[in-house]
Amino acid sequence: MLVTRRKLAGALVGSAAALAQAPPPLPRTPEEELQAAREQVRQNTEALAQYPLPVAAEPACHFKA
Amino acid sequence: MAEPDPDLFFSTIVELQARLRAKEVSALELARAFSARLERLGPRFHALALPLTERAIRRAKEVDDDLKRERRRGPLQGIPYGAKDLLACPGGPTAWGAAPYAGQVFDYRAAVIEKLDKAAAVLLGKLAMVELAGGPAYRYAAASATGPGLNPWDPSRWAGGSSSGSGAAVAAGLVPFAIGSETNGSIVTPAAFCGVTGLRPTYGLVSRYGAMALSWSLDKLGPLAHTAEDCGLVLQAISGGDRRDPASAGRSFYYTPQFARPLKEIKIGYAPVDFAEWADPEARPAFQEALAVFRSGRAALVEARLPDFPYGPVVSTILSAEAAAVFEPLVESGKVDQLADQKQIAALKAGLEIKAKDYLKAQRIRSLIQEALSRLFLDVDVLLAPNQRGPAPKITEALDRRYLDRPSPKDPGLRLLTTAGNLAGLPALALPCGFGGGMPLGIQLVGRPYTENLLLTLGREFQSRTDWHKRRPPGV
Repeated sequence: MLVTRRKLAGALVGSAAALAQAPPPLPRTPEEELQAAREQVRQNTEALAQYPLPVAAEPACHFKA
Repeated sequence: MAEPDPDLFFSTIVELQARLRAKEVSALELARAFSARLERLGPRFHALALPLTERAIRRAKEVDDDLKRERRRGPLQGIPYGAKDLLACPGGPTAWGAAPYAGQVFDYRAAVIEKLDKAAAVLLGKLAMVELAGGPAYRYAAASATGPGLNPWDPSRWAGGSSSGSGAAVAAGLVPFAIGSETNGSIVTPAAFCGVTGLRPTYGLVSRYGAMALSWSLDKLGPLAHTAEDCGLVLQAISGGDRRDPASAGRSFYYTPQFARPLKEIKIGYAPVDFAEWADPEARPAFQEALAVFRSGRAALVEARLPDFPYGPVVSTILSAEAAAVFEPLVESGKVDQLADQKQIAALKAGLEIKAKDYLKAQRIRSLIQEALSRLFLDVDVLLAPNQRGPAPKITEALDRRYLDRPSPKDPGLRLLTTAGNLAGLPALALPCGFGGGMPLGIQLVGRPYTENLLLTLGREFQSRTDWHKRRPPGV
């Protein structure tokens, strides 16, 4: 089979796109699972940090006397 | 009573009450017939955590004595039901769906069970659930000490969670209604996947005294039943202030269908992208048909979208931090490793590392979400969206991998309505709306706080124009 440079480039671009869409692999061990959970906490922190919060915004939980 | 008519098991509360009043059936006969069915079919769907048959028979005899003396206790008198296994009740273990709590016994009743006892409803048993009501996160349907909740419409598929047994038991006609709980989707999800009606009340309307805490600022208790009307009757019985629940709003709910507004006066917000792009292709016709039902009732349908907020990170941070605080002793003791789901074990451990500033930031953003949703409800009375994007997944599927391989539409529409509604403490009504690939599908209506009667009006109208809530799973 003749593989041209154009076909090869197309195949590589295609597989790169597929990889970009593929979900991350499932954690296989408890240690990997804990790492994934910590990574989720870190991502949440990052997402919250990006949100511009007015100084007057109080937490939704309130102590009632 | 002779061999019960199969229709009996799929009767609504209103129909069963009429039969009780007409003395066609006694409370004892109902309790015996439903108990036998729950014990026979409950295990088939991993829906039964603990039968309470002796208690049920005793209670049913008391109800019959009352009925003989014309002592009326309201519309739930003599009606059997099941309760999610996170509600304290003496007479057996309350295991919270989790192996580390298998032997846990309480000597008191949850407020909801007290109230249903007072209404003379008959508790038949405790219903299975995802361990710790889902905890901060879980990956597989098998995240339960009783095994994966199997869907009566197709046992190779999940019943939804975390109120899996509550959804499956109502769908299979094992109980006329069930009590579930919702922190972030645990009533509306099984309602959608099992094809039943579910009501998530406003935060604080139903006392959580005696219920397992997962997230103090998010947890709610509510009914799953065959119809919107039945949900209204149950909510009326279980709502009300309770000083034993610090989050109790001190309010009661009265089901008042007589004061319902006509459909044509109600403005419903929806996002076309939810129905056309976010929904699974096999589900789109049913969802579009549901929209058409409201249109045919001359409700005003206007386009709406959720305000832009990081809903996922906010709910994940609050839920994970609160759940980790609740279950810190479980984590520190090492017994957390007895849980069935590796992702939940890891999430509970990692939740203990969430910083106070992040938790508070999430709660501050939550205040803004509440304000923004209040403003959204100045323009519409309710929001309408598909409950789930499609039918129930296979029980072997990784739940956190669903849809990751598909490109997402750019317009978010109301896709995160479940999370937004839970963060803002808003009530939601889940209604079955058809089938996709042979499995039930559902829509949800979300309103302002304490607008349960409005949601129930819409639900009743919808169910008077459709018969999806009357469909029964094959072979049960």
